[in-house]
Amino acid sequence: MLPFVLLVEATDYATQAQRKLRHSVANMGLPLRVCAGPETALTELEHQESRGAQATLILLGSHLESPLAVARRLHQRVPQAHLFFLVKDQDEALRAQLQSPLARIGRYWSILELGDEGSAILLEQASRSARQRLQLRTTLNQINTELTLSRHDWTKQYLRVSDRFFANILEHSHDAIIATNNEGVVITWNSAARVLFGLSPDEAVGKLVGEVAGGDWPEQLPRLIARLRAADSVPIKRELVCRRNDGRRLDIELALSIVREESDQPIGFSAIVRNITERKQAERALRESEKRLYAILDSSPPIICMLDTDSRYLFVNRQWERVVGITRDKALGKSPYECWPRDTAKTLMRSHQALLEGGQPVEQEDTLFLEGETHTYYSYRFPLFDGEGTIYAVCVISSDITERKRAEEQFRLAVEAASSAMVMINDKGRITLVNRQTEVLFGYDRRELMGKAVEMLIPARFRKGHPGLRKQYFASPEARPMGAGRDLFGLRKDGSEFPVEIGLNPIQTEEGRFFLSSIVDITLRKQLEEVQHKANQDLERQVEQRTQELKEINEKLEQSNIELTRFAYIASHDLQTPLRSISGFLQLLQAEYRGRLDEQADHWIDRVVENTHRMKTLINDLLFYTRIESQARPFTPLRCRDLFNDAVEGLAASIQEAVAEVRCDDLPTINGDRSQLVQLLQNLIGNGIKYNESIPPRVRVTARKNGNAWIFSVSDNGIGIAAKHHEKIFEAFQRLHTQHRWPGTGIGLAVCRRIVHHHGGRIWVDSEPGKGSVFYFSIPDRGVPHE
Amino acid sequence: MNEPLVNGRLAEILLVEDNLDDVELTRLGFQRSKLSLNLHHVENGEECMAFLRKQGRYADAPAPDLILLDLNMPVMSGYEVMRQMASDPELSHIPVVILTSSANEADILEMYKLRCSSYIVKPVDFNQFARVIGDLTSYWFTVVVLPQ
Repeated sequence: MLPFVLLVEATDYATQAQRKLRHSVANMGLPLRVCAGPETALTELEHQESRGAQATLILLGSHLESPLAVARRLHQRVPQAHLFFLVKDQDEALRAQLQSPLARIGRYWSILELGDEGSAILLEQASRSARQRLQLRTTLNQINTELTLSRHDWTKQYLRVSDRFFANILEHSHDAIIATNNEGVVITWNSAARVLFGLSPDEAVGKLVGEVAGGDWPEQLPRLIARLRAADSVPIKRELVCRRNDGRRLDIELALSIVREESDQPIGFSAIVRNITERKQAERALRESEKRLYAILDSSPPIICMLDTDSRYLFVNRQWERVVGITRDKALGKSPYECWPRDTAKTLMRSHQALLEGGQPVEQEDTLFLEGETHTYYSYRFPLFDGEGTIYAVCVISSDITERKRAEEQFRLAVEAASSAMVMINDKGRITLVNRQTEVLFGYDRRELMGKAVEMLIPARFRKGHPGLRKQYFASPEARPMGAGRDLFGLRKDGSEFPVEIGLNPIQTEEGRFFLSSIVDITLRKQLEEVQHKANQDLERQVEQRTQELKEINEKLEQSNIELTRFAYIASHDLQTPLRSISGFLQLLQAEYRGRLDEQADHWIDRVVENTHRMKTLINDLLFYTRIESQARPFTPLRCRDLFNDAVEGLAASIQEAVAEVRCDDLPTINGDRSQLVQLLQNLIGNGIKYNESIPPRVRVTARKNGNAWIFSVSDNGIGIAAKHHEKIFEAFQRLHTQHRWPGTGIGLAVCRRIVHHHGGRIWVDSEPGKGSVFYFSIPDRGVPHE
Repeated sequence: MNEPLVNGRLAEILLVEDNLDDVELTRLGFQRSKLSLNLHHVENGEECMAFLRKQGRYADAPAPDLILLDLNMPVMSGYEVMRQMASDPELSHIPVVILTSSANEADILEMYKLRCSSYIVKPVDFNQFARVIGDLTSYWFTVVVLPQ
């Protein structure tokens, strides 16, 4: 390789300095070529190169318009050459320019002051090192050429076998491998291509690739090829959809490249086609399922979002958008600080951080301030793990439970304010809520009760059976009082017991079923009941005692009544015996001795006889009176008309004597003692005639039904009775008149009253002096069959 | 004076009466009736039964043709006499007239059930009583045929 020096100068300045420079170059034994501008310089370089000459030094004249630009171009062409910038004086501006990294003229350059004494040495040194560089490069090129040659030999050596390898690879590739010429005529068509496109190599080779390898290729291919050419032979890779000739849709990945000759001349294309239909389908299915999933998440009422480990949103659902007021596309990739108010974001970040550290799902309640209102959210946070078990995201599902919390709070307040002790338990029998009254009643602090088995409030002797009863109740819960028919007791903290009444209520909540019991201390009531019970017992005893007393009195009364009746009977009977003797002997005295004593004695005897007669009548009446009950007969049905007739018959003499009119209306049939009732009518009718000064005396008997009794009336036109005597007349031996005016014993109406009483009725009178009397008596109707 | 005869002898009447006044009045009643008869008197049921069975001091007593029996008596009442006589075949044929001051219906019914011949309530009026005695005697000793 021959070295030379190139001088580039705008004009040929044959200056002293140049002459000196040419001289120095000549001294170095190197030829000097001079060019006027960069274009000619480049041509000269090319020309010299073709002759095997290389420039080692390039001198850039001081008159060049832009020495740096020229230097740049020449440096590109001969990078190993040393550049000298020739200046008249030291040019500091140029130096600065050259020293800048932007100069892009390599490392080998110098500024040479024309006329400088040392410039010849400088040139020589530079030329030497440039020549060395050239030498090195030439050597390297030689080695490279030799290596290339030896590789070529190897290639030749193995070309035969490599064809076999190539054929094998071609045949067994999973990807379809197709080669065409520049016109697209298929040259190579492997087995995978056959499988993919459904055509054998025999069918495919020689045809246009667009015809054999699918529906829309003809449209797609030219575009691809254009791009391929533009890409300067860099293979392009595309995912495409094409159709087979039989219409089947295929997703393919196409790697297309231009095949060139050694001379770089394109001779055709190679295409590696991979069937990615399944992958695409899986991807599509995944996308579909993601879409569905997102649709579900979007229409879910809770807020759902997903954050990556850097706390950036990966996903938010529609509810999140609504609550936060930021659309999804703006939210994704942002941190909570960019979406939420600062305080809220801080809270969320803390929870997020805690989860990342703990790695376990976390349930908690978040309090968020939204639009000036406090909202309570129940949040469930759980990590998402990748295949290696590393957390890559965190999912948060938050439900607004503000209303529920409010309801719970109201419920809690209501329970707290209840006047009775209230204890709520869950279905495990654990206490979940108690109120102030419970603390007061049982003597526990509520913290001691929460979460404990409710049995701690029950005396030990009932404790064993309680869980069973509890489960039984849980199985078929209804609001009802507890422990029907049993006495229930509560157990205080201090161990004392007290009687209670308990009402049970099942409560269904979102968190499951609870049971609310309302407990009332009934100690006072029990005591009152005890007192009342005792009072009742006392009262009962007293009543019983009094009843017994009354019974005894009654018995005594009855006894004394019986005795009295018997006494009256015996008295009247026994009185008759001496009376009879007196009367008998007196009559004898009267009969045998009349006229034999003096007149006075006869008169006295008459008086005694008269009185014995009266006494006899009295005793008879008394006897009759006592017999009304002592000699009563069973009642029989009686036609009152018959009774009336009997009575009138018994009174025939009196009626006849008084010329009285005695009548009766229609009379019923009643139950009674015949002889007594005849006596009753006879007495009343008899009185009506007897105490009567009217002419003619009239007596009338009627009967009418009043409720369950017959009311009989015996009315007369007699002398009447003053109202003050209306009671008295029914007493035995009570008389209103002198024996002289109307003789009698005064027992007639007493007998009447006794007979009426014996028949269960009563007797009374309606009368006024001078206006007659009406005697009424009632006889209960005992259901006599009517005729 | 009428003499009612029984089988050719004087009628034997036994009066069983504790009240001596009544005994005398009865005797007077018989006198008033002008009938001649043998009136025997015992004071109670026990004596009556002894008389009828001719026991003790009544060993020689005649068998009475008619008995006038009071009911209310000490020692043995007329009821007991009636019961014993009814169950004694030796005595059950003798007519018994109850002569008592009791008008008690239960007594009357009971006596007739024990087959008394008559039941007479002693009238208080002596004249009436004497008449009853007379009627009674003439009925039993002139109208009725008595067993031998």
